[in-house]
Amino acid sequence: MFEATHLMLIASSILYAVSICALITRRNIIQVAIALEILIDAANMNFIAFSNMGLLIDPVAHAIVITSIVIGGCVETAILALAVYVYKHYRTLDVRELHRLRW
Amino acid sequence: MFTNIIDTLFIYAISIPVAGYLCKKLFKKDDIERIVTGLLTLIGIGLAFFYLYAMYRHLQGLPLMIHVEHLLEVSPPVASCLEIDFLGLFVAGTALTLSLFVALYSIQYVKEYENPTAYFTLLTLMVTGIIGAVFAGDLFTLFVFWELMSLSAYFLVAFKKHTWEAIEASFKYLVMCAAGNLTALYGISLLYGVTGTLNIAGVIYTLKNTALTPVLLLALIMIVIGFGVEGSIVPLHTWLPDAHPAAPSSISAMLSGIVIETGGYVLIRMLTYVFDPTIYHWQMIMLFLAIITMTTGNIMALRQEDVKRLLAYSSVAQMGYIYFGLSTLTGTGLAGSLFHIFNHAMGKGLAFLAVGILIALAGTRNIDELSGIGRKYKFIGVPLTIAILSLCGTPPLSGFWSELFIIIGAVEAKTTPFIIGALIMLFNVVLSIGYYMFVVFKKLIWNPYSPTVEKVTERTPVLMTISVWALALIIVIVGIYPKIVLDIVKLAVPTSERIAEYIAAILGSS
Repeated sequence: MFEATHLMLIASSILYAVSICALITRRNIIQVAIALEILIDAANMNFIAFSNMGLLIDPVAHAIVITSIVIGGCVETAILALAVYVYKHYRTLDVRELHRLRW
Repeated sequence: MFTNIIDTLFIYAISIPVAGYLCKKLFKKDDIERIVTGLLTLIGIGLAFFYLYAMYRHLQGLPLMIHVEHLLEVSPPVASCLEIDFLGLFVAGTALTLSLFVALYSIQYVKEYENPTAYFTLLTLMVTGIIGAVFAGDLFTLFVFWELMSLSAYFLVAFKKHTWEAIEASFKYLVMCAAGNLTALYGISLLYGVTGTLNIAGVIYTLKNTALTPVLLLALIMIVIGFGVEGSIVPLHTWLPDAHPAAPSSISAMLSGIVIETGGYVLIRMLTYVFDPTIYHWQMIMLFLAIITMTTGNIMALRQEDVKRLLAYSSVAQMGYIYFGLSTLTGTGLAGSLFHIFNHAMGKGLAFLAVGILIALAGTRNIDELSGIGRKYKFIGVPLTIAILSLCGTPPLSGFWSELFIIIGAVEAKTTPFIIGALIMLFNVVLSIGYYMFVVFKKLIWNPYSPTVEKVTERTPVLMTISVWALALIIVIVGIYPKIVLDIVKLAVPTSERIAEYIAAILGSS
């Protein structure tokens, strides 16, 4: 009944939900960075799952996922670089401390 | 490979760091590095503009007026390609016009920053990302260029990295926009699952014969939310009033002038081309979002003390006008939306650039402390006044025409919600006149000099003044002869025939 594709789709939607929850609730910047990484993986997994829906495996999805992993790496680099500067200015990695800008 | 326009920008984006490094090693003075990299950026964007004009002439000669550039030599439905039609060309032209003057302005503006090479490289990459995103013919190419634009924007917002404000604003911007972009990617993957292709024309063609399913609805919601973060739809706009003031003024002009408009462009493209409004019925939801966006933006702008923050909230409101024009779906309303993209880019870009000069001279962003500075520096006060008048829709200037078109479009839709919407928009325009005239104009230009302004004695920088005046001239000329821009807008408005031509241009060839 359940094929591999369906299992992967369920897994990817769980990953998506987990990462959005983590983005909202987690307070450490490193945890936020990991949540973003999980979000990228959820989308990538969806592409892979959809790529073998037909008779043949679609190579386009694989090419896309490889590019998407690289982009994910760039986003991670950006957030980690900012984490260093956040630590320099605030002496903490707690995102709750980043509330000096209001309205 | 990616058409002459994007190739040129890429080549310059690669060569600017090399040139900057060589200048740093060969010459001991920082000025040379700044001037060389700045001039290279200017030349790169200028060349790209020239190629864009060549593309414009080329498009007029084509039967369907759509140029397709294949990136992979395989059969069209799976291929990633660039497809250039007048809608993309119009937004790209706006982006290049604004960025040309921003580059000219930046040559003098980045004097106090320590790393001009990084600044100009990131600026060029951001322009490349915008142009690529508006030319993209398949959803993944769109996403890649979109991320290129966003990543450069994160770093440019954090450019003043020794201040806590820039770091905090950039962090907020990064987390919100990265989550938004990846949500959009998830939505794109769902579309891929349903249609089996990513080529926009292929997706449109497949979706035409598909009924509304929950998966497609989820894809629509995810794409609107994802691109709406960058396009500052109201519940998702909270990064904008932090990020725009924290960035250097020239970058605020780029972000407010064209980056969020690219979000608007992608939503226009997705909602009119891909998600057919007769099947998905998104009109009322977009109307609701547009009204919330413009009202929140204008009301929040009324109570700001920081002049750049005020302009940033005003950008939220102006995006609301663009979405309102989109939601009407009449020819006039959509034309007004597109024309407003141009007017907002020029007007808000000019306002940020002019205010940036004044802030650099006085060293503060507080409106009360800047009191009277526009009168002291008349060469900057006059263009600032033109920008303000255009943004609040004074008749002879360009902003008037687009706001008029949007309101006429809403009345043409002839249903009660849109007429109420038109009244709310009129109310919003009046509100915006309130804060532009009685806060920005009165305090910055009319009021007597504040003690801070009394002390300022520096002269106005030449290049920055030139770029500000050039933008002011564009606003006045387009205001008097709106036909120059409207001729292109007319060809860009998405109608059902144009969508059919769009599919035929890409899929019909095979």
